[in-house]
Amino acid sequence: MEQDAHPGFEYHNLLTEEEKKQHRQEMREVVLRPLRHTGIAGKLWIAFLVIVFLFGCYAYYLQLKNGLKVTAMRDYASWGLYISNFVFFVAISLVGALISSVLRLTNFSWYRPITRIAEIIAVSGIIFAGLIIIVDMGRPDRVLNLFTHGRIQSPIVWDVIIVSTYLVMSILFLYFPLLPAIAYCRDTLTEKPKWQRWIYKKLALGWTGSHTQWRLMKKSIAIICILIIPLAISIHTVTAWLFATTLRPGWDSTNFGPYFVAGAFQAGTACVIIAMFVFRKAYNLQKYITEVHFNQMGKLLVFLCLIYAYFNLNEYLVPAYKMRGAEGKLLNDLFTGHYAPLYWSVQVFGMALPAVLLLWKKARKPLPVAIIALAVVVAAWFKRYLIVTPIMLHPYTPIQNVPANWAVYFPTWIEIAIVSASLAGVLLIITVFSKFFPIVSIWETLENEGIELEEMDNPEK
Amino acid sequence: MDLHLKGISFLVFLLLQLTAINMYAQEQKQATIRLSFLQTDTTKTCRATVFPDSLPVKGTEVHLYVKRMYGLLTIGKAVATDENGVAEIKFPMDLPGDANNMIVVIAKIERNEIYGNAETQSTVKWGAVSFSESYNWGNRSLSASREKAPMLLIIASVSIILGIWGTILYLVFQLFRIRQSGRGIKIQPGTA
Repeated sequence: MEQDAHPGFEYHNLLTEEEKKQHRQEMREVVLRPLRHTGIAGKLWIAFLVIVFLFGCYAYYLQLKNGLKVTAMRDYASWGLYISNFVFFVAISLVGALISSVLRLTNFSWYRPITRIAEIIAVSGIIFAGLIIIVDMGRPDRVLNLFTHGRIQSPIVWDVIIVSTYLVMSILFLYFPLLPAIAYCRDTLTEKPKWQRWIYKKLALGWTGSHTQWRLMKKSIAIICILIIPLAISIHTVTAWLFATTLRPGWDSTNFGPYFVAGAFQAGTACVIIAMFVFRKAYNLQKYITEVHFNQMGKLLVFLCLIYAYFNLNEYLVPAYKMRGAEGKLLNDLFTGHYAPLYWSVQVFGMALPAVLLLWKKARKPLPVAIIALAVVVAAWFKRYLIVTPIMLHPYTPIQNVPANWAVYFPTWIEIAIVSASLAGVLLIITVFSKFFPIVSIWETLENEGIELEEMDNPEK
Repeated sequence: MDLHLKGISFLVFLLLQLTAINMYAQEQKQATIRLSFLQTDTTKTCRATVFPDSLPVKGTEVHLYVKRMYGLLTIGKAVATDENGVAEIKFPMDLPGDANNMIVVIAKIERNEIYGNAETQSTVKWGAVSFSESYNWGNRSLSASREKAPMLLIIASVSIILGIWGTILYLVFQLFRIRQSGRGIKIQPGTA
């Protein structure tokens, strides 16, 4: 595939060493500015997230105290908002692999300034995916039993293994390219409190920018890049199998693995676009996160929407052609029944409209593409709700001899508070991270422009 | 006049009390259900006989259930008793029982205007044999216990886990190497 080098690539090759140093210094100043100072809007945003998170913790305390009866989950809808949210978080966590790995291995280079955004979304998404599963457990104190007593035949055990593995790999994927930035923070942010400088010092692992360190870091990144693709596909395929290995209308599908993976790439890409827009605006990164990036990400989103649409056609149209038994009842409920407004909103605003609108270049400008991406993310969240809840309420064996309210599901305030807290938690991790570390990778961005930091750190070579 | 009104009020009150006592007495009627089981080569039938005050009663609906692990399984539709107080309900031939093929059958009268609720239960050895010689109980399979997982699955999963976690350990080792290679070198501010 052709290298799509930055327009400035040729220009920077002509720069003198002094000018390159100036460019590097300029970028460092811009990227580190948000680490030095947090405005009133930033403080209010963090305070808001902390309040939502703490309120969710209180709701979880009530759930721990009184048991899962405080939720709306009963015998039939035994999976509800928590599992929908888990699937959403797993989905967005795949974007780290897509942006940083797939695009890197296919020799694209425009993605470089946004890799760290994608990686931190992946890490925070997978952390809260793991936590929300524990929240869904009636006895969270028994979580370790999954490791000590789990059956390897069970997809739930596969999921536990893959979630923990992907979490570790995503953290490594975030950490390795971050080393030079941590070292720079260690050396320059001397005005920061002692504990923060201690963290920088420990995390920097004595980084000096030597050739050996650069070589070890780049080699490790290359290994992770290759390994994280099958891991990312596995994590969402196994999540899909949690459903598909269950004999239920709507889940009993061989299409489920790729259908989930396609949806995950689409939702994750939309999340990155929103984060790009916010960071660009809030941290004044217009010079590094440019309109070119929004244009490219917009095109990528069109491509992913179309792939997802293809899998949706397979998932819904084929069984709808047959309209067989319980599956038919479920589809009728989705197409024209109780869930129809939500179902069609999700399909139109989350897939069809974005795919069409983003064909126009004007729609791929920062603000329009961010609005469209927001619609895609909201729709993606509700899509997971539609994948979980209506199917729980349409089992093959009829619902009978149970209280009437067991045949319906609407989350209680406790479930809504806990899920809101988990969403706030994801945003809090991303925000706090961006206040401690540069959200744009300096060395990767400059390398894309022909300025090799490795060479600049080792001028004698 | 006032005395007259008071008298009428007292009489009405007395009448209402009597009606209430009468209704209460009616609600108090107890029904007894007796379950018996009839079996031929091709059919199984549950016979529920309803006796209120030891006399058979006609037209009372009887519901039949079987006790399952998490609740009651409805057997057929409710059947009204005939003039002998008997309701016969066909029983499925293929319903699995417990380890001894026993099934707990429950007959109920539910929210009846006269008798309210009544129920009885009885155990019968009508469970279909669910054990199959061809199933190979105790062998390795996907549905077996943890210790009896298929060998191929164990080998495949352990190989994948070891391969990936081995690589993760190698990557962590690279972090140690990075730290090691930085030791002894004076850090120049502004590198990286």
